Amino acid sequence: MAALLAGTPALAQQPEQAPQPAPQVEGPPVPAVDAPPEVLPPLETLPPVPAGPSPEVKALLDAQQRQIDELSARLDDAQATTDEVPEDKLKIYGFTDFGLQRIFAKDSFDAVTDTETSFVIGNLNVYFDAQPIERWRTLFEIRFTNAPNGNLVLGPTGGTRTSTFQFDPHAGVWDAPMWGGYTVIERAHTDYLASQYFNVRLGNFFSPVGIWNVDHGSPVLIPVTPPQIILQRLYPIRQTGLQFYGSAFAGAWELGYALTLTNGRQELSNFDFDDDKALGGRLFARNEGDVRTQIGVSFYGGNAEDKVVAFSATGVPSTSSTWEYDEYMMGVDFSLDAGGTRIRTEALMQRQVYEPGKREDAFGTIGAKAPDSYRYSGYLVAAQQLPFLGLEPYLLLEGARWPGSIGDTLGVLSGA
Amino acid sequence: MNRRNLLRSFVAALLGWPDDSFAASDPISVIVHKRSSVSGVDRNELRQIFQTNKTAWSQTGDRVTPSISRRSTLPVRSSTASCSASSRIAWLATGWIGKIRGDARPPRTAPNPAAVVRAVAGNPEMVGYVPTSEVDKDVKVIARIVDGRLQGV
Repeated sequence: MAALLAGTPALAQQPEQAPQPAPQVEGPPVPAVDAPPEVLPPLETLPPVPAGPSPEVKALLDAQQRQIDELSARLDDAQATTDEVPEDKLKIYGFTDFGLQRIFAKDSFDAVTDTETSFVIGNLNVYFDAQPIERWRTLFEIRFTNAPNGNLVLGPTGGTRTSTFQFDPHAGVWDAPMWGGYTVIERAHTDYLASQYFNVRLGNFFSPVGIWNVDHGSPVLIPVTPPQIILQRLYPIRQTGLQFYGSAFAGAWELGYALTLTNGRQELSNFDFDDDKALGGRLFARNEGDVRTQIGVSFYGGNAEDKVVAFSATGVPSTSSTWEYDEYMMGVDFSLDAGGTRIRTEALMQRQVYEPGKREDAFGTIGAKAPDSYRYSGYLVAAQQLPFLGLEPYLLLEGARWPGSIGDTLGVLSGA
Repeated sequence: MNRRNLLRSFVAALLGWPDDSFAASDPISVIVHKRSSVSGVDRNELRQIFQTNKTAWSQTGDRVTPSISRRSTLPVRSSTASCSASSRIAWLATGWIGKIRGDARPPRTAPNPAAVVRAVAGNPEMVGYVPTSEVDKDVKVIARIVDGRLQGV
């Protein structure tokens, strides 16, 4: 109906006219009713019936057919976007790992950590990934833990074990047991995906440094334990603020960047303690062909301090910091995936410069203060996937150098 | 061609690996919306697009979103030696999983090649790959994979 209505604009635009009389067709005179019937002339003498529509009618029909075809194509386009291939507005996914752990160490080490054979759950992380409208995306990563249940807290006379046991107040009975645990917000940020070359991220995100901190999750990491770079927090693991990132392509190579403007270290609070903001970033070149190769350099610079509140004798509050330092970090990283072989290596240097009179306590020694220092750390891990059972044995070599209470150099060789 | 062989053959072509592990009875066509101004693609760019590293066509600068037909899950690790058909899928899957950890999405998925055709026909930004027998008038072919090699049209 719509096609027919749309296909008749010419007729619709004509002004209204009086109905036209039926066209006169010349032929033999119609005999009077009372007159005796005459033999009608044979059909061969009647005017011939036209073989097809007139040119005007044919043009009209062609125009209508084109419009029908166009509407049909639009309908096909609309039907193509069916519920069979939806764009997921919200995805929920995650990972978990489960294992059997035993630590082989001297007996005395059992005082600081449990070395016996034990089944363990390593991680339980859930992602909430929303893309409600074009070019906007929000990602939350939540980690569920049992911590601090079972944590051993060492003191001058021994250790006490933390328990999160309590009775469940909502169980219907007064003595139903339950154990609480921390929920860790690993990251929470919203991205505006402007283009290949420029995107903006706002929120709390992993610092774009090196390999381990960017990969982050256990399914893609190789060793079961984090390297000293992460354990010693030579840069803030996460930051809150802005990140600008993008990449361009040169043949098979992707050249990318990330720049951050953030609150800096936030290990004491979710808020910045001063108006200084930290700058950081990363440049990388990546080729993910038959052999995956990535080379990167990272940097970070910021100020870290604490904030204490004191009251005067008259109850007037004031704030100050007891320690404060400027820090600068530079790092390089390289990774290679060739067939079943994976190689990862990172190295970085951190420089700490304390404000005069504002040094942290150090070395667990009363009166000892942390010096200005250069801190170095790096690791190399090489792994090989085996063709059975999904096993991937690896070798890890780590080195670190920074001022410590028992020395300034650490070397680790491990594997699994 | 079943979906697993389709994916394996496609990934092998992206990587430039010879693929004679099974007989490909139907060449694979790389398709875009019929009104797309893209007329061709090389192996490097197609690989970068399906790895979701690249989000715009070099030829036109238009945004591009890859779509694949696959099962609901992919193996993370291969149980066979390198350059095997399963390891090729694992290669791609590991990249996508790593990409998720780096805050990007894997390609959009469709339950079968016909659904990929419908998705591409309805979205000017989308690119997909299907057996040539599934191609219809609503999409345009910009490349073909024949005997494991990407060729122009």
